[in-house]
Amino acid sequence: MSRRRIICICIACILLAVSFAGCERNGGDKGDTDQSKENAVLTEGSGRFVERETAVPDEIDQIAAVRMTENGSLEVIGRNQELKAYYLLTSGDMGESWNVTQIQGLTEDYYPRIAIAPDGTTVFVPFTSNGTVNLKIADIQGQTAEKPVTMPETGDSDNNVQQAGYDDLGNLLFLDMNGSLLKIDVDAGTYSTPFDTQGIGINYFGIAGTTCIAVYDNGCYVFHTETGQSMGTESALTELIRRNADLASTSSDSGYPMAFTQDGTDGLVFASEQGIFCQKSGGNVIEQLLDSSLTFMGTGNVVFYGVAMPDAENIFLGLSDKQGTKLLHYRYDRTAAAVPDQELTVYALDESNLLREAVAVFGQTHPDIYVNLQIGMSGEDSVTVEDALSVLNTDIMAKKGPDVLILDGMPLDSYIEKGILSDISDVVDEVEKEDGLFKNIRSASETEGHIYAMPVNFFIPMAAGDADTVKAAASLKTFAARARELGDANPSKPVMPADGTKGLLRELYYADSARWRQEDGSLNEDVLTDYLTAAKTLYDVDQYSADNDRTEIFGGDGTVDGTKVSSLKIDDLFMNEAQMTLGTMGGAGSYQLAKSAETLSKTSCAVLNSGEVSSYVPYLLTGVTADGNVDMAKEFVKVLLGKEVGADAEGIPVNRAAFAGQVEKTDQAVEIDSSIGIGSPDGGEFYGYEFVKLTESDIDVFTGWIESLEKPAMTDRVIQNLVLEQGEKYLLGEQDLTHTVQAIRQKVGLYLAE
Amino acid sequence: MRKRERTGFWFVLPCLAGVMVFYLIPFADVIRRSFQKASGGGFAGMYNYVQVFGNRAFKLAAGNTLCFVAVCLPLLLLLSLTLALLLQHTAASKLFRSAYLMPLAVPAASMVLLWQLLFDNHGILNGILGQNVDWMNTDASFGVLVFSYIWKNLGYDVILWLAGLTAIPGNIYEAARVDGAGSAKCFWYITLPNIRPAAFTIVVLSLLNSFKVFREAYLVAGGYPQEKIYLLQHLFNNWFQELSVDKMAAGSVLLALAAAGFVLLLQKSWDREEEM
Repeated sequence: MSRRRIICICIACILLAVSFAGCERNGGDKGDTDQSKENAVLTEGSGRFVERETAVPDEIDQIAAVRMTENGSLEVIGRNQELKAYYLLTSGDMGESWNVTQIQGLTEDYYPRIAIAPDGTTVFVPFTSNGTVNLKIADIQGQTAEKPVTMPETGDSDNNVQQAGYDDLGNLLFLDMNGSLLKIDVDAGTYSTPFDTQGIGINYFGIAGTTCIAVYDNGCYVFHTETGQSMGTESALTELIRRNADLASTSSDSGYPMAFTQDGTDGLVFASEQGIFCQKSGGNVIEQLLDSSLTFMGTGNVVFYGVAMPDAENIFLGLSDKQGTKLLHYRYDRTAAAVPDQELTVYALDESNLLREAVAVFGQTHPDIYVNLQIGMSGEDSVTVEDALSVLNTDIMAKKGPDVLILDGMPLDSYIEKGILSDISDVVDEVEKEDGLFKNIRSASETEGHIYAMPVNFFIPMAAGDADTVKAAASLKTFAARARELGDANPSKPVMPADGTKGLLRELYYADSARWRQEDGSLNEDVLTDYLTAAKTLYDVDQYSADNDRTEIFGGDGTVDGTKVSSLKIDDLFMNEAQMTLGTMGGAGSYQLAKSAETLSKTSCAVLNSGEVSSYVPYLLTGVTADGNVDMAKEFVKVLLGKEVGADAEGIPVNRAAFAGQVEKTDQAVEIDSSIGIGSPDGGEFYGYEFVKLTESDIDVFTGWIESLEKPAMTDRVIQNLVLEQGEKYLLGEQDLTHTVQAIRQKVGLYLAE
Repeated sequence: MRKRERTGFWFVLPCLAGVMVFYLIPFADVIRRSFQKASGGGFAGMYNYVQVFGNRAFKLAAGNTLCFVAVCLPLLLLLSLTLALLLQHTAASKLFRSAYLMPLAVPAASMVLLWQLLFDNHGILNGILGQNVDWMNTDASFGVLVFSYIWKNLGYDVILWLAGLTAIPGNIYEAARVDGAGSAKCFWYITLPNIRPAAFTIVVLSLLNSFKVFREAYLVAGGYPQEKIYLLQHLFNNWFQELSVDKMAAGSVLLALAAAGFVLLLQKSWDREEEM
């Protein structure tokens, strides 16, 4: 073969190889969960920690501190919020059984800081008074002794203790309001400051053995608790904190973004929302012991009260999420695969803490299944609904789609028509049999006798105001007329709260859109005209100009930090920010809050009707893809629709038992917080009102509203966006009514014609 | 295969493989899918084509696309040729060439900002006219789209025409002038026949570029713009999001057939004139 030919062939091969080089899947496209799973594989080898919630005695509804004591027992300080009592729990069998001792002699209802010493004694730290903090030291029999300690001065106000902790030698450390770390001599009632933080304020600290990790805005210091000397092992942790700013400070009253302890070999073990990590003694490498994506740690808005590690195979974690406090036990299972053998993919467009909660609950009963939760629009990038749906559809077409689809904002009808979704009526029947479901919501979810998507919970469009306003909520037309009446009667007083153009349009859309579609699929022009007219009346009643447009409170679909929230704000009424208001109402807790606020505003609320149908806003519309692992997916749907997940979430659970649980919790809420205080937006005035108990009659009214709901509001985000986009132009006076109706009908008509 | 052809084959292979993998094989799959149901993949016969032909959105999009091509293509060719002829003997021709190519360098996202600045309710055009019209939501949006296309592609076509014009040997013109031919006769009998091969390429490229105007239309008006600028690409994009693979495949085959038919007709008419 001639040299020339060889060169030609080589060049051809290189060109061929280069042309296909771009075919490799981009690693950057992987979701967080994929990456986490990969990390788990890399660090765990064989075996894995499996999560299980440890039951604590019934008296305890809040966990305040967790620690392993010198005698090897697990000690927990718990609180009963209703009785305002503290309990010492000790367990010698890994939380299987507990000895319960009520702490005696506590003089305060609430102690903001609590720490357990290695010998089992506990310090209860109240607020500082006149420069002195009167500590209550409780022994393991539950008897307390008072020890006053003088705190550093901070000018006019008392210097409260921000955090307290014991090291393994029994040294007590405080963090004060100045961000200074103090070493406390309890017997002498004095403090010292052996820790040099170079003038930088500490946000919080953790103690592992005799190591104190003091976290500040941009990193951490690591000190020896006895000597106060820097240990020089902070670089890896500092790097971690710099990469994740959420770890640097705490927004919670009593929990912290990280909790620290020591393993049996002087290694540092700590927990964060990302999982449980270990830094070997003297080392600078952090190893991940547990990936949080399958656990309660990964459900969002989590803070920690303490971590305890009795041995290398057991970790106890006290944490609090939106649903309350939990004591979790992570046990290393040598027989379990490093990552679960089976994978279930759950896809949602928007982040949802409720969904993450469901993943954690599912993980408890299905430790052999890895739930890969994919969020289409995580908010960390600029992915639009269109981009997210394109990627999802590509996966579905390639038969690599998710097993469970959360259909909020997706073209549900189209997916049903294409046969993408599987009938889940059997699971719905099962849940209905076990816990009961709201029959009207179930019926509204049926398509020709099948159920392809079922909401986990829902919200009700509501209106609030005086008796005439509530009466006028029977239709959008009368509601708008009432707004005009109020505006005319008192022009100097705002009628509606400042919710912005799209905010107002969205709330009305939720109340009205269920009646827009005609039998031929097109939008009813008259109804659309009525909707826009009502919106314009409500918008104009306060005569806001286009230049002075009201700002939107909620972005997108009303989800804030992964939690779908109620948007009805009675506060506006008693603060004289508005005479009438509208918005969605979530579960029994929201209703209780509204009823409590009504005592101050002297108003009431009712369902805002379109005039023809009573609608609701479904949330977490769950479907199962026909091409996925249908059986496993249905198991997940069962958990999602079950009473355990929906009860604590905002929104009305479709599950009747979960709803009953919600109602029950409203009683407890009154015991915990007897009153609510709120400042006016300008900070000028302060309003307070009593938290009321829901009466039987209140609950009947609320249940009656729920049972009267007939149809879901249109959830298709394409239609919603088109309506809001054009409607906004009309409200701002950039487009007349006829053109707006025509534009909406034309655009939505095109969408429906496609 | 001769030795020379074999050598050539090796050089063509990478490109051919790329075209096969990224275009021809996927398109074969599209043809297959156009005869299948969206769910389950069962044989659907001509059902998808019937659906597409009966689809109001498809008819509107196809009509708009055809109308856009019918208006833009002749306009662009005529304007660019005229400019090329004017520039051919201009001293500052190089400077003008660069200037005309500038719009090509403007990214689509910047173009969109420019559109909004010009045609928004509070845009420059409304400022000049003293009106409050959202031009992109009126029938005028079609004119805006045509203007945008011409503005962006004019320079490119001028350069292509100039390349064709400079390839014509000067001595032909000299001989014609000696024989008493004026400018018009020179253009008709010398220039036009000689730029015919270049014209074929320019027409095909301009046709293909006309499909790219979707980017601007989509970025400025979204997936559901004013009816007059609702193009086939909007429809395909939206079908993809609804997972209407069946209709999308049938529509794509029809579009490919129409485009191929147009190019083949063009080529045939060119070839016929060449033979004459």
